[in-house]
Amino acid sequence: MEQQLVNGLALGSMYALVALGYALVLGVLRRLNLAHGEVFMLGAFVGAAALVAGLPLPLALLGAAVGAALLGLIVERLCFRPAPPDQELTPAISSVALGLVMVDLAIKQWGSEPYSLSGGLSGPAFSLGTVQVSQTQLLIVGLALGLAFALDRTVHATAFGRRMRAVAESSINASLVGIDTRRVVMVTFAVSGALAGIAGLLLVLRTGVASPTVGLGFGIKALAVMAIGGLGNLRGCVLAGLLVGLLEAMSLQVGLSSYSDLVVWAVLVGILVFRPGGLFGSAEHGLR
Amino acid sequence: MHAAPARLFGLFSALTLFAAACAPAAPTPAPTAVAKVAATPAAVAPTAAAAAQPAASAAAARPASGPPVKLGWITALSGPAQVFGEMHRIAGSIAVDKINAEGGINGSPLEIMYENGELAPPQGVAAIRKLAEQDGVFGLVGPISSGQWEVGVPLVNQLEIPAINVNATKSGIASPPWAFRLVGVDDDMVPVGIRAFRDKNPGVKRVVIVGDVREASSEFAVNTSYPAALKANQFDIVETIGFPTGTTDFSPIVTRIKGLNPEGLAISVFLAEGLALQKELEAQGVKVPTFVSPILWAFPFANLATDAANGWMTIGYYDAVADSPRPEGRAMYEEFVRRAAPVAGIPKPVNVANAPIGHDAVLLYAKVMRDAGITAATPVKEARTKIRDGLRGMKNFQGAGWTYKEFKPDGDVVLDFVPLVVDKPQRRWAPQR
Repeated sequence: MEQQLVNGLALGSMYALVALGYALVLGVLRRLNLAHGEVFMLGAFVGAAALVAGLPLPLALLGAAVGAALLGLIVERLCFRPAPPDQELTPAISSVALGLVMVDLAIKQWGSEPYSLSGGLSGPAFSLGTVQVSQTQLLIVGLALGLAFALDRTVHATAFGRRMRAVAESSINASLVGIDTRRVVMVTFAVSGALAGIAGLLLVLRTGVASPTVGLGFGIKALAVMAIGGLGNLRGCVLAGLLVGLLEAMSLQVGLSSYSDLVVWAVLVGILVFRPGGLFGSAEHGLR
Repeated sequence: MHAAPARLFGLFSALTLFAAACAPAAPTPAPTAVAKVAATPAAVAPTAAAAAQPAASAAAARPASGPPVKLGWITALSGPAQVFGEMHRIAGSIAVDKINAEGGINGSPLEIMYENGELAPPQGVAAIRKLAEQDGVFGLVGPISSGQWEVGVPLVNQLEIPAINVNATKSGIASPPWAFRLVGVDDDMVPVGIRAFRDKNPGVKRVVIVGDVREASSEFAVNTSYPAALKANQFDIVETIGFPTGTTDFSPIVTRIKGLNPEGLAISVFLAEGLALQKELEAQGVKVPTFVSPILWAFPFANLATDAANGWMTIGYYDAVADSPRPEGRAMYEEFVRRAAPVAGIPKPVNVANAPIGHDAVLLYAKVMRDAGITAATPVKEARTKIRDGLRGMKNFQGAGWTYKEFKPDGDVVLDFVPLVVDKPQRRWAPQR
């Protein structure tokens, strides 16, 4: 049981990182970026390719973050910027299409078979009784919580964060007071992509495999995490991510392995029935 | 104004570098990473078929000429199963080169029209309709997946066109009178494999079943064919752990397995999940005799898994040069490897696995059409009927590597299977000795 807590926290941390990216864009623009899962997938491939090229892990993580940030900017430029402000559906549909293009491009570049790193996964870093914590699990939880904290502080305690929240509140008013809203939006997409890229490489480190189709399943799960936490609610994303990770791990422990996905979606439906704003409340006026 | 974003990225970078500096060394890249060369199967040398041809028949042949006899092949030319399409095209090209070098189909050259069905049933159905109704092919190979085959069989029966499936392993998909399967199905293969697993591991009693319960053929293995075969061989099933397709982090599942302390595992997965599961089993120190379903044999699992997978068992046919009992099989294998070498997307060394079944399907069509006197001038309906009758009467057809004994009344083939194990030093499946 205790081991499953560790497993669930590590899994949930990765969900949280991806969910934060969804929440950022939704919070600032009030639009869904449905290519985010594929940015996560390509970040995984970029990071894995960096490792294959012999780069050390810190540079591979940086490469995944920068590569995915650039992809985030491309998504913004192609799917979101051309859409009129009153159009919410068009960018979402456009981003779905761009996501599918990304999947096909990944297959063309890396093949349809999974990209497998040779060698095994990292062994246990330390043991507490029967509970073993691997080095990768430590890295995942530490990095995810650290990045989430940094993002939270940036949004709530910096001048740029104030500009982000101002754009989230009203982009027209923000531009009237001299805020470069386009720049804010671009940075939002870049940060969102960077988070996804780092999460992608962390998943590769955790599983030893990058797959062109991982973005769909993992991305949708992270979308659910964001909804459970509260739309646009950054802290809610983190807590919901951990909750979903723990739910999945615990459902296995009690013999509900075949229903682990069902459990997550049933919880989502149940929460939205009783708390339409998510567990921790949606950000009604943008980012929170 | 611009300092804040810079600070934000700076913070990211600092955190990233700090955390990574404390991190474990990353796994090293696979030496088997996919080779990237621009060539396609169509770019193979014109003399390539020579290695796969029996010398006598080639010497006696007259060149085929005139309009072609056309077959259709529905495979995955894009999407997650694209590698199958690439391998099918190579297998098809070897068969076509061989047949045409022997004089074609009673003087008419053979041509294969490939259609992209990916793995989606709707696309498979559309491809069947196009090839049967618009292109007028005499027979079909494919589509690939069990899901496509399940919805495609009623259509080929309705359109009255012969179809030979070479990949779908799910049992219980009724197929007569126009649909045939040249690939072994789970109901036939799994019992043979589990019996061999028992013989290899006589001390193993307590087994956990683990597998993908979202995909049709894997779900069938997990919930039907594995339990039946394991019970028939006196194994105790400790627990069945199912998971959905696309599962990425297997640590909770392996922790559960570890807690059950099994003596053996019976796993049914596709490649991505299979690799992640295998690596997690290794990471958590679960090392017990393991049987995997024939699904995994068709993928380069033996190549891409870590050394800890050495000795994992499955059930299939033959694979590598040294394994096929027939010189023609070994020649076909060598030719396949040669043509696959420049193709991007096929991991090296090549896992030929069941690709020869597609090759053999084309050879079988050719034999039936030759025996029935079919040429390109034969009316489509008449040709299809003759082919169907020829297929139903098939007895002991010699493929490249093995013999197809006959089709059962339900259209599934009867053939012998070979227990295979992961041979990590050679990064391939090898016969269990």
